[in-house]
Amino acid sequence: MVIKSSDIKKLFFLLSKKEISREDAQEKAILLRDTYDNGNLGFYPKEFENKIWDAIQFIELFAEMVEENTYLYSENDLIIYIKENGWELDA
Amino acid sequence: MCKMHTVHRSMFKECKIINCETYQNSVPSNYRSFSLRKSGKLVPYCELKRGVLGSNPSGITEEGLAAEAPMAVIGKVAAVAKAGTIAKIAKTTTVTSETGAKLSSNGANLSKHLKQVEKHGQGGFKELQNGRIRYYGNVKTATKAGEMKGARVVKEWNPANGNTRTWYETLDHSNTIRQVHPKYNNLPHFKFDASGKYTGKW
Repeated sequence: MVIKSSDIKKLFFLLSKKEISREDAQEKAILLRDTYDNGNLGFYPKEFENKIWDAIQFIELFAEMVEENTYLYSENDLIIYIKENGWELDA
Repeated sequence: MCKMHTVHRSMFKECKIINCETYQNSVPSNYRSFSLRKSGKLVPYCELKRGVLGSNPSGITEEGLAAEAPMAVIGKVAAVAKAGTIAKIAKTTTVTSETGAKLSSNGANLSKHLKQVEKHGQGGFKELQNGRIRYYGNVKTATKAGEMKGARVVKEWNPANGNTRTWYETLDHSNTIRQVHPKYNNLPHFKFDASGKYTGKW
């Protein structure tokens, strides 16, 4: 399986528009992590491996709650992360 | 002296990471180390030497190799205890005889460990008494001010059978683990108070 940077961009787009829930996005991130751990995950482009991996980790924790009804990250954190790391969907 | 030791000695004269207890005991632990290449990959010195020798067989010196590895990961990965951990990973599959298959298995485990350090152990790793290894992700700070500082992903790996499990930990501002959330099967969040006492789940 290959995870492309465009897949991550799309996932961030869906998350920011709330067209996918945090939990569903987390499921996808967990699947990617497990696939990587089994040695079956490739990154495209290869030079974005670290950036993509960081995004997977962010998406995974985006659904995590530090207390009941309190997410670790706010919606605004998502927007900031997308902007700071260049994950905006191309026009 | 084990087969791998002999092979490495003959190829590189001085191999600094080796799956041989005899050698481990005879070499100061701070000599067993890794280098972080510019690509971000952790490379044992012996691998580093092999790679460089393969591509440029002439004029290679150890000083040159050291200069090629400017980011001395060494602090993070090759501290004494951690070098010991790596040796133990190798030993989990090396019991009495050093067969080729076992050596291969050792190499695979070592490679897997390094990969996991790179991807899951940004916050460090710890070897448990039972031989399992826990890899800690960086603590991601919560933006909303509160009792909790943030959360991190923790992965545990058992080199003996390859089993893994992963969970999320929430830490308070004194870095005490206050909540553990296994990531599979919709398991609940398990809560603890500041003294570490289990207080319930939600």
